[in-house]
Amino acid sequence: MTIQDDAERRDLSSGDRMPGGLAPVRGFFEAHRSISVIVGMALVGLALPLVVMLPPFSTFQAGAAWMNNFTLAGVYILLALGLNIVVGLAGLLDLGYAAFFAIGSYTYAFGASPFSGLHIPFWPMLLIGALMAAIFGVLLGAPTLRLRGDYLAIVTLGFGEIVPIVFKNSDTYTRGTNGISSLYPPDLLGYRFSTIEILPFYIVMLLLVTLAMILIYRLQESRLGRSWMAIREDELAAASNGINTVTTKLLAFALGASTAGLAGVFSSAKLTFTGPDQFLFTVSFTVLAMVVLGGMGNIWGVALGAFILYMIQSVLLKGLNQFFDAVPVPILSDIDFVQYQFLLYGLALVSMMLLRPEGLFPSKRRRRELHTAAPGDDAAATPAQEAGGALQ
Amino acid sequence: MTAQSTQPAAQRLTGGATTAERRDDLVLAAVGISKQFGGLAALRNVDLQIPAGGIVSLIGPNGAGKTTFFNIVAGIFEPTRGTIRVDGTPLIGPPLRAWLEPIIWVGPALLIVLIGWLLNLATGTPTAPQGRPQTAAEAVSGGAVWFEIGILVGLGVLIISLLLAIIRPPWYRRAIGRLGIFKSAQPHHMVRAGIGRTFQNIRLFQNMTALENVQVGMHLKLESTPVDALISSRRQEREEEASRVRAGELMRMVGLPGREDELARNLPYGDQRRLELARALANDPKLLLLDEPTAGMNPNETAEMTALIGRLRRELGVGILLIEHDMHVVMGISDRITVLDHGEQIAEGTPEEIRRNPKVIEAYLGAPE
Repeated sequence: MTIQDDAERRDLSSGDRMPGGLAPVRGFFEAHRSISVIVGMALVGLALPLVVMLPPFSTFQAGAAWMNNFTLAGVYILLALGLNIVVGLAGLLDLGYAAFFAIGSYTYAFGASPFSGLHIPFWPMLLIGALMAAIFGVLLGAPTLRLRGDYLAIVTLGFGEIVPIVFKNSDTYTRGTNGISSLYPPDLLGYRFSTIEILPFYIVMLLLVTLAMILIYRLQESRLGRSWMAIREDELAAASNGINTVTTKLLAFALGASTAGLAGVFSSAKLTFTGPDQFLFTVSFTVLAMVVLGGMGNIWGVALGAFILYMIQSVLLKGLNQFFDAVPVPILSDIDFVQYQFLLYGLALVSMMLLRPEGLFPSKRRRRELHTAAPGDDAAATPAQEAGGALQ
Repeated sequence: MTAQSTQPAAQRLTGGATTAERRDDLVLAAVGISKQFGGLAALRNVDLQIPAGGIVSLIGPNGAGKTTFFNIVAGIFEPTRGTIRVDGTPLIGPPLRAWLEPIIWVGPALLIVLIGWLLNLATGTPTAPQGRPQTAAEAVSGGAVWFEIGILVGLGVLIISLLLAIIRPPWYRRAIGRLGIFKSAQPHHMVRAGIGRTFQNIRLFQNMTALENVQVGMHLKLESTPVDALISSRRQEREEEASRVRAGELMRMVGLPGREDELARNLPYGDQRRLELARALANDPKLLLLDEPTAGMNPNETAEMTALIGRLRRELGVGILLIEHDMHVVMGISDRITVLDHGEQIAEGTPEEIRRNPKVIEAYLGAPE
């Protein structure tokens, strides 16, 4: 146990204090998070288009379709990164996260569509969408901050239902169930993005995800990140150390929401459409499942979890359908696999909680939290022993 | 009540010019604190003062209200009556008309909507086109324009003031205070005023390292904002480094050198108590609230902890309010002792006075039949 602890301790002491340890390369990347994120995302960004040209993938669907999927997966990665702030770092269970996605989306629809008559360029709209979502994050957070755990989850669930329904029912302003269509796509220096050419969207998505990851890493390792963790660990103790729990939790809500707003603006600009059915509870649930499966609190893990789940949902299950349409197997051919995706999520989550509760790619902290019960028990036993000693 | 009259009159904080100077040395002045939990009076009219650098102990049988008093000073409970000054600043007082605060911001918003509505009535009703739903542009141009503007501005005022009421920036709090609306301090306000505390059952951040625990304790000493963190500014980098160094110093001071990177939960029990003390000291408090700092310790550890507390007082000049059951510790270290029983303050005095006080003996041993 002590050997393992030592190893973990070495892992945790981040590279900035002992950069020349056993693995200098790793030390460098731990000390320079931003560079490591940029390098990592650049490698992934280059590798993905190349990999899908190779046989097993290229036979599955065309390269452009893959790129389209990757780009939309990016939207979910952004969402998962944002929810990770709220759930993974600050420990506030938010079941209505899709609401902020919707707010970002509709903000773009109001800002750049023939329907509203406005045409604000895409780039400032990214900021405006994030800001709008952040404001609503604060407004939702404010009345719910006194609630904890289950109660907070239920209130956020309600909020997540209210927002799409408001968008759906205020016909005059949102065209109701029809949604707002033919939004203006982004343009950059005279170049106009089009729905046919997927590569520019892919690059923008890569940049957005990279930026979000760098910023969230920085937040996580700052005073604010420590405050979030402290609140997650023990709210009363956090308050007794001078942390204003209200504003700190609000910031978690606001920053998480603003990431979703960003994702919303991008997704509606990419799809040139936004409608209330894109933001149902299933979106909130899917993103939460991505965060949990990927490994709460670990930024790369969450991103990877989101990517994998999105690919399963949008490519693998459809692929299975096509496959069994072509190859008649008695029962399997009759099943619509896409219909069963939530059954699969449920099964995945249950087996995850039983076998690997910390997620596929956990943060070191979470892994310890869930797997070193023994030392914790020791610590709990000590007072009793000590008290016994005091009595003698 | 009679026990209080043994105190010198100048320390009674009854107001007036003669006590003004004394009040400045007091790091804590709690006057007439009462706390009612439904029908149960947990505390009745308790007074307590701690001079800068003094150690005052609060003792009493179980259920006497010691921890309730503690939690009131720490800002966790609001007292039913009474006032608390920390280092001369009034922080907790009777909650005055707290219900007025929402009216201040709902009022103007409603007023603007009302004016919009009246203007709308004056300029004619909107013409809704038949057959198809109105578009946003038509709604604005169709005569309902004043109403729309009124609602939009009113909503804006409402949202801004709601955000203000939630975030409560200092200038807003000052303005509200000037209106005579007073909201009792919350724990972090008490910390800002100079109070640090430890808990009876240790409440460390179990899954954070020892160093991070102390860094959290330093929260109010650090000034970098979230924006600093986002752009990874010089200030942020420098401050983080400085906070690590300072946290290391504090850990050495309480006797935990070289344990920085250990998880709080993996520390032995005695060390966890020390770490909690280091965390409480990280904010440079003027007053430390220690809730049974030697609970569950063996005689050796108790002696070490007592020595440490004495050293903190000498070296840092921090005032200490101590709850403790171990009479050796209490009698050995306290300047003054206050005794509570069933929420009543039954005695106050030096350790020697308390030892001989018949009321205290009665409370602890029972009245002779």
